[in-house]
Amino acid sequence: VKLPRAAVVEGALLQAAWRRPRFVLLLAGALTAASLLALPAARFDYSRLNLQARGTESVIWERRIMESRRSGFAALATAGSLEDLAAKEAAFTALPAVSEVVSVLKVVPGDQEAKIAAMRALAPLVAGIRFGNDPAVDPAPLAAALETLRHRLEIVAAEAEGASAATLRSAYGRARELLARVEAADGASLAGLARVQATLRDDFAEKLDQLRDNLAPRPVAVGDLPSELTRKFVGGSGRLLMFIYPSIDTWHRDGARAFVRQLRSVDPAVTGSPVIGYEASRLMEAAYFNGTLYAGLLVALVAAWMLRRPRDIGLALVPMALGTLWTVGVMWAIDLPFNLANVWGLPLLIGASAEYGFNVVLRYRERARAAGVGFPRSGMLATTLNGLTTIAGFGSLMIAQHQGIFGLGLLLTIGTAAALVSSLVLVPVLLHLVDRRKPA
Amino acid sequence: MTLPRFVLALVAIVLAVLGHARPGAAGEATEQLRTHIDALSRSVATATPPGGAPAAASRAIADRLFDWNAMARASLRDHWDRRAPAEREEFTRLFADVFARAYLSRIHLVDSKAFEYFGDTTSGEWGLVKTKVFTKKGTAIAVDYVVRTTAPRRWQVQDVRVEAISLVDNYRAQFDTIVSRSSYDDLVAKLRVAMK
Repeated sequence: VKLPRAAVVEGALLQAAWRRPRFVLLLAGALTAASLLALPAARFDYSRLNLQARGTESVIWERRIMESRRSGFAALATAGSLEDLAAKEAAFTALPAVSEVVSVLKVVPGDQEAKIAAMRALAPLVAGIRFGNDPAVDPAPLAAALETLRHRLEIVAAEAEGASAATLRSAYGRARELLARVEAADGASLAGLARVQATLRDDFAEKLDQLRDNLAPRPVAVGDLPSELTRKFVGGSGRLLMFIYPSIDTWHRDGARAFVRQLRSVDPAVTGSPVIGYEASRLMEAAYFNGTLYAGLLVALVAAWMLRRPRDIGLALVPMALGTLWTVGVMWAIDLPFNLANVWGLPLLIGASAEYGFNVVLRYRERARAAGVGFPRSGMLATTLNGLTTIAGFGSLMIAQHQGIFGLGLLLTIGTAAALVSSLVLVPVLLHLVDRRKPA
Repeated sequence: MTLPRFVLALVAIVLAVLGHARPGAAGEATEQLRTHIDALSRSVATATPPGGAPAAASRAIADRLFDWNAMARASLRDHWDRRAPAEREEFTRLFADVFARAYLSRIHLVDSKAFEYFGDTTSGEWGLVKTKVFTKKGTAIAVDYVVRTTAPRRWQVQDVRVEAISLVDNYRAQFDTIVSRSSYDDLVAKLRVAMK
C-alpha cells in the first residue's frame, strides 16, 4: 500500500510510521496476535498479602504461621448452648480444611474426671506428713558436698585453658573458702545455716499445704471461669463464639473457596475474615470486569452518537480495544497479574483510550471537511500532551511502597501508553487506508 | 568352737564361695580392662587425629571394651521401650559413634604410662573397676568403670564414672531433655549432625 505524498503529516514519528504502513500494520498485527495468545494465561492474584509493601511485618508473620498449616485469621461461628457448641466444634474440627477450633471449651480443663481421680489418689500420700521440730544444724553433710565440689573444681581449674580458666579458678577459690568456713563451724555460721534451714522448711511446708488444699478439686464449668477468660468467647446474649482456623492457604481463591464451602456444610451462617475476604474479592472481581464491559458499551454508544459513520466509529474504538488487549499482553510478559488493587484500572483505561481515538478521528474528519489534508499538528500534539500528562499522573502511583498501588500505577501507565501509541500511529494509517479504498 | 560361732563361720565361707561382694585385687575384670585400655592408648597415640574420627583399629578395640547396646538403652531409659527394633539399632549405632569419639578424643590427654588400677569389686555378673589417671599436667582423676559379664569370662563396660559422675547418666539427662522438649526424631537428627 502506498499512501499519497500529500497526506504525510507533521512530526517525525508519524511521518516515519506513514512511510512504512506495512510495517505499522504488521507490528500491530503481531502485537495483537501475541496479546490474544497471552489472553488465556492472564491471571488474577486474589491474595491481599501480595498487595502489601515488601517487608511488612504482619505479612511476614502470617506467612510463617501459614508454614505450620495455620493462619492468624479465623472464621467465626456461634452456638446457642454448650452442647451445640461441642457438636459444632467437633464437626468443624473434622473438616480437612480446618486446623483448629478455639472456643470457650478450650479454657475449660478437659478430661476432668480422670484428672480429679488422679489428684484425689495423691491425698492419702501427703495426708500423714507432719513436720517435727527443726533438728540441730549438722555441718558434716554440707562439708562433704562442698568437698566434692571443691575437688571437681580443682581438677577443671587445673586443666582449663583459655578464657574460662580464670572463672574456674575463681569458683574453686570460693568453694575452698566456703568449705573452710563450714568446717570451722563457728557460732555465726551455724546460726546462718539454721536460718537457711528454717526458711527451706517453712517454704516446703507452705507448698505442701497448698498441695493438700488442692487435692479435693471439683469439676470446673464455664460459669466458674473468670470473665477475663470467657468474655472473648461469650456474647452479651449468651451466644458462644468459635474461632475456626484454616489448615490451607485461604489467601488464594481455590483455598478460600474450599474453606468457605466446607465451613458452610456445617453452618451456613459462618463469617469472619476469610469468609468476608472470599465474598468481597469475588464480588469485586465481577463488579470491575462487568464495569469494564459496561464502560466499553457506553463508550461505543457515545461514539455512535457522535460519529454516526460505522467506519469512523470502528476506527475511533480501535485504541480502546487494542490498547486494552495489548495491555493484557504486556502484563503477561512482565508477570503482572490482575489483583484487587489494579483491576479497577480497566474501566479507567476504557475511558482514556476511547478519548484519544475520538480526538484523532474527529480532527481528521474536521480537516477533511475543511478541504485540508492529513492531520493538523495541533490536534496530534494535544492528544500526545493529553496522553503524556495522564501517564505522568498514573505513573506517579508507582512511587508507592504498597505493591497494590504500585501495580495499579504500572497497569494504568502501560494501558495509557498502549492506547496512545495505537491512537497516534495505527489509527492515522488505518484512516488513510480506509479513505483511499473508499469509492469516490 | 561353740555351735553359734561354727554356724557364723560356715555362713561366711558359703558367702565367700558364692562370690558375693568380692573386693580386692586385680581380678579378671581389671586385667581385661587393662589390656583393652593399654591397646587403646597405643592405638590412639599413633592413629587418631585430635578431635577427629577414631581410626578403625581404635574403634574396634572400643567396640570390644564397651557394651554399646546396654549403654544406649540406659541412656534412653523410658524412651527406649517406645522405639521400634530398627530405631533402637540405629540409635545404638549413633550413640556408639558419639561416645567412642568423645572417649577416644580424651584418652590422649592423660598419661598412659601413669594409669593406676586399684582392682575390682564384683558381685554376680556386675563389677566395678577403680582406676586413677593422671593428666599431662599432673592432675589425678578417679575413673571407675562399671562392668558386666556379657559372655563367659568376658567383661564389658556399662558405664564410666569420672570423679563419681556417670557419663551414661549425663547423656541420659541431655537426651531426656531433648526428647521431652522436642521429639525423639529431633534427638536422632542432632546425633547425626554431631557425627558429621
